Amino acid sequence: MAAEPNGSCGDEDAAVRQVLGEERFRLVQGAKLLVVGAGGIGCELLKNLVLAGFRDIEVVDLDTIDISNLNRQFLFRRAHVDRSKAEVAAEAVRQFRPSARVVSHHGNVKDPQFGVEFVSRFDVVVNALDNLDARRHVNRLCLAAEKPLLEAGSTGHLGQVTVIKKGETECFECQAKPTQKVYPYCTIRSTPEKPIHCLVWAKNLYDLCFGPEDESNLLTDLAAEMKQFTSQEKVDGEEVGKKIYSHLFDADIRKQAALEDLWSEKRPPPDPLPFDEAVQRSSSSGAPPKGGAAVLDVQKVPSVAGDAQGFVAAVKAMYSDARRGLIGQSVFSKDDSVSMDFVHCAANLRMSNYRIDRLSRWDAQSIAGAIIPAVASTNAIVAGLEVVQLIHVLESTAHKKELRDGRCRTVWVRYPEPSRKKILQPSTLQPPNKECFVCGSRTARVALKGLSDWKMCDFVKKCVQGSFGAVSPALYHNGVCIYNPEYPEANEEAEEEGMHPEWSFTEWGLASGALLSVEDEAQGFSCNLLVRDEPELSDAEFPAGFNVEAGADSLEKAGEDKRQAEAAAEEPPAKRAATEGPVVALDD
Amino acid sequence: MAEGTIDTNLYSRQIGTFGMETMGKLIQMKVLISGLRGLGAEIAKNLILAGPAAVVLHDESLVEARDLGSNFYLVEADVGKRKRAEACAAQLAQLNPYVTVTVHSGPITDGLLAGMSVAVFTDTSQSDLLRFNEVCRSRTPAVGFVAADCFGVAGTAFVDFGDSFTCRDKDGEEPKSAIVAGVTQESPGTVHTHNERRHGFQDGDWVTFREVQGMTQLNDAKPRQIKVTGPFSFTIEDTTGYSAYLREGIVTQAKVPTQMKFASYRASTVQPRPEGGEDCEAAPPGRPAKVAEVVAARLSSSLLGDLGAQLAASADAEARAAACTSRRQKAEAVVGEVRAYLHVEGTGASHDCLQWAVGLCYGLLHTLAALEAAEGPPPQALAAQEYARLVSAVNSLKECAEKLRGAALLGDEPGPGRTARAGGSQPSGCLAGLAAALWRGQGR
Repeated sequence: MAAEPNGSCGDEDAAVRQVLGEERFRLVQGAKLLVVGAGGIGCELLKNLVLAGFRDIEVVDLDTIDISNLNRQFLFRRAHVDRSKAEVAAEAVRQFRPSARVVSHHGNVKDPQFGVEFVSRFDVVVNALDNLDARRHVNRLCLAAEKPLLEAGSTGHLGQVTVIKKGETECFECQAKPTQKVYPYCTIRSTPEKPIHCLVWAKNLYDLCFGPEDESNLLTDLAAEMKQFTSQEKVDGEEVGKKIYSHLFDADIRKQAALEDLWSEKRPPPDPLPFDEAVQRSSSSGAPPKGGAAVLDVQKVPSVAGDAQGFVAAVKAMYSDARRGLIGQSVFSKDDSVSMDFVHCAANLRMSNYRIDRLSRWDAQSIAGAIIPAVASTNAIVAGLEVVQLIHVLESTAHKKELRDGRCRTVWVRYPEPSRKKILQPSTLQPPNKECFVCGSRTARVALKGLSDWKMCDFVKKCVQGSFGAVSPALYHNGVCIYNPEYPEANEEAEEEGMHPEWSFTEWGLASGALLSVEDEAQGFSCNLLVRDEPELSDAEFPAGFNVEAGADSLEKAGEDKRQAEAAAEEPPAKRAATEGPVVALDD
Repeated sequence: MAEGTIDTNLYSRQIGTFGMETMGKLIQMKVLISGLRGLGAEIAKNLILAGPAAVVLHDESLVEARDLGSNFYLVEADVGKRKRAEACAAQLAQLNPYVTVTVHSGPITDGLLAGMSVAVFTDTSQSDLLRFNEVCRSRTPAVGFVAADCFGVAGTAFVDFGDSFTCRDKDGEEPKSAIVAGVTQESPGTVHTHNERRHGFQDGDWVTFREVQGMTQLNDAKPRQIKVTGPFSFTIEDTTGYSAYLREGIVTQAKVPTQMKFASYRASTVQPRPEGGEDCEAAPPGRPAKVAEVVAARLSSSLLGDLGAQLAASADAEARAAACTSRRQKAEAVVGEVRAYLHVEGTGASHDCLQWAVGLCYGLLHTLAALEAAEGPPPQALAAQEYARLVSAVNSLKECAEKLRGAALLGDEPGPGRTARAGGSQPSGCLAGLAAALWRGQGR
């Protein structure tokens, strides 16, 4: 219950009390809330909650404040940079309403301390998260604890809010969410076609040259060569830069061009670009500015000479006294101007090699940094809608009504297209998907390429954790434990326990069609996995070597979804909104 | 940071949304925000975060206790002591060091408005809105005018950017492209696009062609307006004189600047629906469109207009009684209309209508309550029976308002969320402004 339902200054709640009416106001004052995330939506949400009369709030966020947050996350100031978001946000909203109890937790919601038991202490959980992983985790915690969950997201002018409750509505995972695009290795390494391929290559190059050793780096085969050039003892950064340049944009390209199998009439071999030649190409090209507006430097595409010189200058900057110490530890960040310059110039030079239209610094930063569009006003709308939905949830719960029989809705915030007049589009909540592997039948299918050779630890890491979003899963087959999360690596202790994470499927006696069960105590989550061998799995489409089909009938369903998507194009906007996927890329 | 440059670290996510061109314009804007209760504070916060050159705050009223519930920067110590704008300016200024935040004291002058790119008014009286809107429109280019208000869970925004506003990009979307599969030689010529994907164009869109083989006359980069005839076809100009289409070609939407004419606040008050404008909402079946607007228009002319005169006439008991009777009759007529409208509930009446009705109900209730309080018990000259009728009308209206409030807050379509749209202003918004004026009663 709230600390002081009728605090000293009753007047400040007069308006909200009038709008809500006594009954709802009492529900609001008595509710115990967990807010997950104190970023773009979180800041607005926390403000709205205390102003709406909520008195008992705990907030979890693992992040610290970054300069680029200050443009939206209005509870933070420059002086707060690097401090915990949860702590600063809680301090700030306590000032808005000193009578509110706002407790902050600076930590990852996936940590064991925030497990099912923790979640059970609250009446409702309100998400304000920016990533799929954490949202899936909180979804599972709330299903396990049988607590209602408010789920929200925003991207640019788009956003959505929905309500999830076990057995009553769709859960967050009832519909498949788009996953991050992974590019096939050979596209990155040998046959780039788009700027993004060159940017991914350049980011990997930066980390390879100046970051810690990382086996998963896509260019790891270049590591030995690069190490010769980039050791910390080198004195002359400019010389290092020119050497890397000649190796990558001239010599290596010549080698690639010589691999005749790769090239054809449709895909001609790349052109080497010797440094001396590059610095001659100083004419600046690029599209003329739109509408005659002034163009900023970061919007211009530099000349090839500018790219070549910029690349050498960026390497030189790495060897300045201020940065030299970072060599071997520095990883790419879009906000670190030296690493961004390096990546921009390197990617552009590679685009020159492959005759791809080069990018301005701004475009390179947007793509390489995966800058997700976000504005304060969309976050404010989304957070406001979350509070409205929250009040619906409290009312339904108080009247022991199922959420789908009450006033809760999924609400879409959509930037109006010319034919659309409504920014907010509500749609009714959907019943749970019976085939959902999280809240429904709990059986998912996984196609593995070369099933017999998969090691159990790799399968757990890449598929069960990476793709299914489990945190610390245990695997069973016919009731026998075949993977224990306490023993992720092969060692004596593991062996004493009969655990062999290094064993392959064959060594465990598993063949195509095996039914495994997954238990994740950290999430209160369990499901079945039907694994089968799929030797024909396309490398280009599934570079990780497996494909997850979430529901048992997903194959038939996929066809149906496609038909629906086609039909959707002519449906009115509100209906279309419902068939489109939710906004998954979110504001932090 | 030098003038005219953009802190791309701070604004990276926002530029990702608005685009660099818009951001370049935004950083040059000067905006007045008048009225700093909850809504004004929210507008100021979001705008200052976005980063215009300057924001001028204006609100000369002393902070009231109930403001603390919505303007989050006001504190108890400000109540009754500081003016609203002054009390929250420092905190708002801290939101963004690139924005010059100042407080304007004294009345809003024409000179002040003339120096602004946009003026935003919340919590402003009807007569002031009419006057300020005229001043804003009289400038060249017009000063953008935005009037917004909240009533409980209902809200409104009215936008007027003058008679000749150039819109360079009507939707902010990336231009769509399609592959040309064929073009006929006729008048008008029909373009067929590859049937793998819908072209997604709309009637009236402008497009350009490139890389067309055969009918090379199309590759002239000249934008041409189209009429959509199907998901994979549309028509262009007379192509009978062109050479025959052979193969290939790409067609792309072109952004053609369009002139927009906004209706003034006054015009929207007198005639809620803009001349030739689109309907804001589908009419409930069997009911005239925009019942709420009609009701609101009547309200404005019959009630608001002579409210002051009636109060002033109260010296003479007989005249006062007569005024009361006439007002009551008008009020009842309005009550009747609102009630008739409310009964449409559940027949598909759009949420916008419901919201305005909520606003109107509140307005009416507050006005009547204020009048009753001002005049005490029923004047002798009024028959008790008549008075009872009024009370009963008001009570049933209250009931409806309560019901509607529930519907608006917790019903099918939460929250308002309308902004300016192409080709016109927000008539409903304007009238909800009237409701706001009514709500505040004769106090101002």
